[in-house]
Amino acid sequence: MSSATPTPSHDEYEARLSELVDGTLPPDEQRALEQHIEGCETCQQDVAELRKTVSALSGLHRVPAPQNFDQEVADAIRRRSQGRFFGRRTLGDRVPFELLALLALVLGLALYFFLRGSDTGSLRPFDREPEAPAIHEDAPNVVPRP
Amino acid sequence: MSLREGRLVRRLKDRDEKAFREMVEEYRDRVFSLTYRMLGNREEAEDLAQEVFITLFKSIDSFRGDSKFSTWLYRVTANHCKNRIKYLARRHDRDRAELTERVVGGGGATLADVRPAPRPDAQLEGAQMEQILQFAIAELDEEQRILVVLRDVEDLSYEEICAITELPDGTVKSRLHRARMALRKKLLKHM
Repeated sequence: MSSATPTPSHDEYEARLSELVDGTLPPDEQRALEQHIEGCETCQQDVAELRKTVSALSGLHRVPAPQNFDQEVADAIRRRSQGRFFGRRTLGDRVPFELLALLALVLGLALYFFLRGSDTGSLRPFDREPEAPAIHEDAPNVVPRP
Repeated sequence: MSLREGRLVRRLKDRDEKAFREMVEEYRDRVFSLTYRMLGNREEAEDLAQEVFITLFKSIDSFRGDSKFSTWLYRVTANHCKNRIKYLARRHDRDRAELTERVVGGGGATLADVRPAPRPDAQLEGAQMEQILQFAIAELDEEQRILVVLRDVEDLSYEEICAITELPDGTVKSRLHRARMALRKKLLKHM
């Protein structure tokens, strides 16, 4: 009784031509397939055409996503989540906190100096006596004679 | 899964919008390219690619980290593509049936409709070949189509393809071979 493995049929060889083209066959199987191809015109033609097909397919380039794609995805999620995600961002999200704090300080100081310099400002110190109203000698006597 | 991928996934699970934007930026071309090659139509591809990212955002918690994040992303994309192809085929059949009732003849473009250009220069020839290939891919069934696109267009390894499709190695190899042989027949007169 022979322990040798039976020789694969033509169809079995043919089924592995893609792996030969890809170069993923184990070395012994590759040798056996190449030996079969040497004597098989059909497989010779098949493998040549398969190589051309695979080469043409690998020439297809990756197609980049459209320009606004990221924003459209975010918009779609916002719509579907009813604004829970990717909603309109608050000022605090867009401007750094440090900048907001500095701006608030500057505005506060500006308001302070404005009020201090103002005639009606409540922060101005009361440093002058109010002037008494002037009495003019030649002012007409407004008190009626008895 | 790499350390960087792990960190990204953690942030995604925390619904970190910045992390999601980073993920979209990193993977959008891969996802769009796959949907485009599978569907052969830019509008459908864009719509489907958006659906893929929405699904990723919604179901990131179901990613257990057993595979690479990109494998999971490809799997989600592949499943969406197959479902969309089935849906479009059903819709096409319905539309065609409705059209046949009104008009005799007609029909969509096929590989046979792609005629050689009268004065082909290298660029035109390339664009025409791409169109021919796209038509030929579109004529494969969705199970064969995904394997051709993942292996021959996206250049993924058999191991990655098995992980994405969850098919045994032998099935992937035999199905891919049949797909290539079918493509070879379709492309023969153009090569």
